Amino acid sequence: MIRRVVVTLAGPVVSVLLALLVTTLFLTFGGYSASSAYETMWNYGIEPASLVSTVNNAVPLYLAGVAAAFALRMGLFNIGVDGQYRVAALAGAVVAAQLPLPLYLRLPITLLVCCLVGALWALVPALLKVYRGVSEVITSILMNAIATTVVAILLAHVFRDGGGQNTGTAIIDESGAMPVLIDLGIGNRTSVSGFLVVAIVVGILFYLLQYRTVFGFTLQVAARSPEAAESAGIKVNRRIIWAMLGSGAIAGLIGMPHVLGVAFRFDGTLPTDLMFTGLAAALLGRSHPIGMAFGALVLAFVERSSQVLGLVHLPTEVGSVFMAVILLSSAVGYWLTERADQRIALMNALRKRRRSAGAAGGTPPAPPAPPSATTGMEAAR
Amino acid sequence: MEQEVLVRLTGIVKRFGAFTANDRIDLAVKAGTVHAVVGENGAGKSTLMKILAGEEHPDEGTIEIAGTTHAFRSPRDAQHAGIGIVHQHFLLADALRVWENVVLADEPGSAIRLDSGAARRQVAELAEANGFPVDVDAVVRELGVGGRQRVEILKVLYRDARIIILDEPTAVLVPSEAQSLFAAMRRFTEAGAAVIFISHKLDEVLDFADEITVIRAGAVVGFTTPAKTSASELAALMVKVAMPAVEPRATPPGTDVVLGASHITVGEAGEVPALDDVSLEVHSGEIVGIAGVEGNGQSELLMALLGRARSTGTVELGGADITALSTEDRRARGMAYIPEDRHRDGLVLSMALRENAALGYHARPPVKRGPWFSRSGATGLAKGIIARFDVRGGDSTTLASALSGGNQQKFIVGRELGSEPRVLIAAHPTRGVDIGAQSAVWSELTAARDRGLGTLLISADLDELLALSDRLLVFYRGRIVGELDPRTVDAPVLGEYMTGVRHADADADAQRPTRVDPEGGAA
Repeated sequence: MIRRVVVTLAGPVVSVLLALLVTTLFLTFGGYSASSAYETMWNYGIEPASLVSTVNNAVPLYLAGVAAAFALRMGLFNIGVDGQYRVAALAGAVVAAQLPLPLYLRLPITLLVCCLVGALWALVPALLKVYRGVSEVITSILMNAIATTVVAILLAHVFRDGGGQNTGTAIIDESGAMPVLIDLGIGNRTSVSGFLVVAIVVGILFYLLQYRTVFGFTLQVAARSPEAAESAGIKVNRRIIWAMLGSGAIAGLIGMPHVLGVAFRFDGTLPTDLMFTGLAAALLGRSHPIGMAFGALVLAFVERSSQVLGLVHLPTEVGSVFMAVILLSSAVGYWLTERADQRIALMNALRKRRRSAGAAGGTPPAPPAPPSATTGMEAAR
Repeated sequence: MEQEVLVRLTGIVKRFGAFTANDRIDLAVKAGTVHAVVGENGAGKSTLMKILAGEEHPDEGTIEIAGTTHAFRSPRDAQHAGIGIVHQHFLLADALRVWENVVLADEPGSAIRLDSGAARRQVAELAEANGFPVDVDAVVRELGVGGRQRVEILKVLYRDARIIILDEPTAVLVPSEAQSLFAAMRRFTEAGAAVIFISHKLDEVLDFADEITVIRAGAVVGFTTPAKTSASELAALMVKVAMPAVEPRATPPGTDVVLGASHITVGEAGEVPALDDVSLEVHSGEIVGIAGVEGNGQSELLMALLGRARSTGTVELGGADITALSTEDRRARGMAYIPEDRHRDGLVLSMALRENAALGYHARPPVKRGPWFSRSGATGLAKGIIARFDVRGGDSTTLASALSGGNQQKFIVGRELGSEPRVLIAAHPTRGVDIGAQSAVWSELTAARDRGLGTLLISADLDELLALSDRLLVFYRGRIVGELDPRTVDAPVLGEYMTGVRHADADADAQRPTRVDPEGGAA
């Protein structure tokens, strides 16, 4: 059990270390002192204001990671997350500003509408895949482009508030915005948004749905062996549709921390490429609900703390380099730790064998052998 | 005949991780002989042959061919030394013609020009010289199993192999095809070649081998000749378990129809249907065997009964029409299914046995508890299967891929029978499993039958069909061509039905001349 935990943790740690190594090389060859850069980043990053910002910024990354993971666990690559959250954010901004209901009703309805719109946007690639056999990768990317145009048209001609220079929807007042969860009260922007709770709830729902329900089981079977799924009575096509709907629904929430907590309306300041950073979080966390939270926090921390480097005349691109590298290193890191794990399991099995060769029934309850290569070898005997 | 030793393997050791597949194996094969290597599944026969063919590298030991020591780095090296192997699973390019497959990678002509005329002629001469009735211009896709195997053998002969390895060559052949294969093997040995053949079928080994080496658990446990041994002695050497025997049934089958199919047709419009207007009935407590060369509609029948294939006609389960029901609903009503290919749709190899125990049973207790997947329920199922069916090599958390083939099969059979189904559709329930596991599966099938289970048994193993079935239906080209009594029918007659030489209509019409088709179910 302990070994399993260590192995699980070793993956992301090795990935982060690899990314740090590459970033260090980048800095050193650029003629900068890597250690002073990291020191500056660390000192800035652990300031309370930075930490609050890290947590707040990690929320949309986490949501994006969960959205991608929801489809990935069914073997689908929903690369249309960007489009889904932009369309959903526009709908959410309109509902939050216009709906004549008190906050405790308006907020949940707003979020539900976002989920619904995101899911509908993701339904198009799902249906095309099931009925026409078109790859969801292609169609969901194309849906991103359509989302950009649709949002621009709707914003310009339907939902724009007032005239003249205004380029956003109506301002969302207190009865529609996300309340603050904790306010540290030490200056500007030191309050943790209530979206942290939303992210945690989404994470828990993701875990329960994917890991503990029969539905999650059928998704896994359909992803790993469509033939076995069909013979077991699991309709693969329906699983595809449900997985894309779930992914899209979660994606619909990604833009809302910005809309309901920063801009208080839908306008051009909405970040447009949260998906890729979210994917990095998903990769780093191996699509596991807790792992992805860790990944999102690390990425948000790096993003925030690298901003300070400009002040001390160091390249602020360090953050981008780190994030780009971590996408690759998370693959390499997991591969390394898995190999190491298999080696250890093999050594253990050999040792156990040698020991039991002498004394019959000597070894007391051995740790359950992990389902790795060694068990296969033993089984074959 | 001069009996020089053509192949001598000395002290071959091959380990995969902690598992020793070959443990100091010695093997000597003389020129001009057929040498059988027999052993259970997983005994290490195939590994040994792969080492000889240069596909695996031994950890220890030497390979001598005609007195010279070789260390093969690749199959190519082994080919140059005169070794050719025909694998159990054919490695052919379906879209190419016979002669193209044969010369592939060793084409006559120069580097930039293929001398197709010469190639065609050489292959045709080779086939002629060896008495292989193969159309060298046929596209391999259109050949039956026997034809494909002949192409594989031609490939080996084309490369001037003096040592021909056949890995379970008769597993896919009907009796008459097997006979012609053995005749061909005899011709090779008369020409001075050595044939090494791997088999489970002890009667064949006794009939056609000159020498026999028995391997158990990676080590040689016996060397003998057919004259000096018997099937039961060989079986005892191989497994230390008696040959599976099925007791004649004590209780007659029931009378109520548990599975009924009428006028089932599967196929694309405008094409010859793969399954053509098939009607059959299975009674409670009855095992109905389906015999036939593979590819004559059996797979389509399975898929239609399971509700996976689009079909016309009606299917009834326990008297209720289930034609319109989904696979899930059919299974919920007590239809169990042992698939043809356990890796394709029997197990999810990358999942633990716990999850595999739930496969197909995830929509009912104990696995389903409200919306939740009960891990303890699934673990209980898996443990029950493992204990009752003696599945070895792991516990409920072991990945399915970690089990050996025989244990995977036992796990599937256990899963499907454990739910106490009303109807079992079983395809090749003992394919690729050793005698011990086969005996266990057979006794479970007959025990379930005695409890009233109706079984539709599709198998390529005639012994299995004859031993287990109460009635035998023969499939040929998507139709039922005969219903036979397994207690009275003999193998040659069954073989004639399976190859289309004889069919029920012809019997009725008193020996109307019928078309002979040596290719079996080629179309």
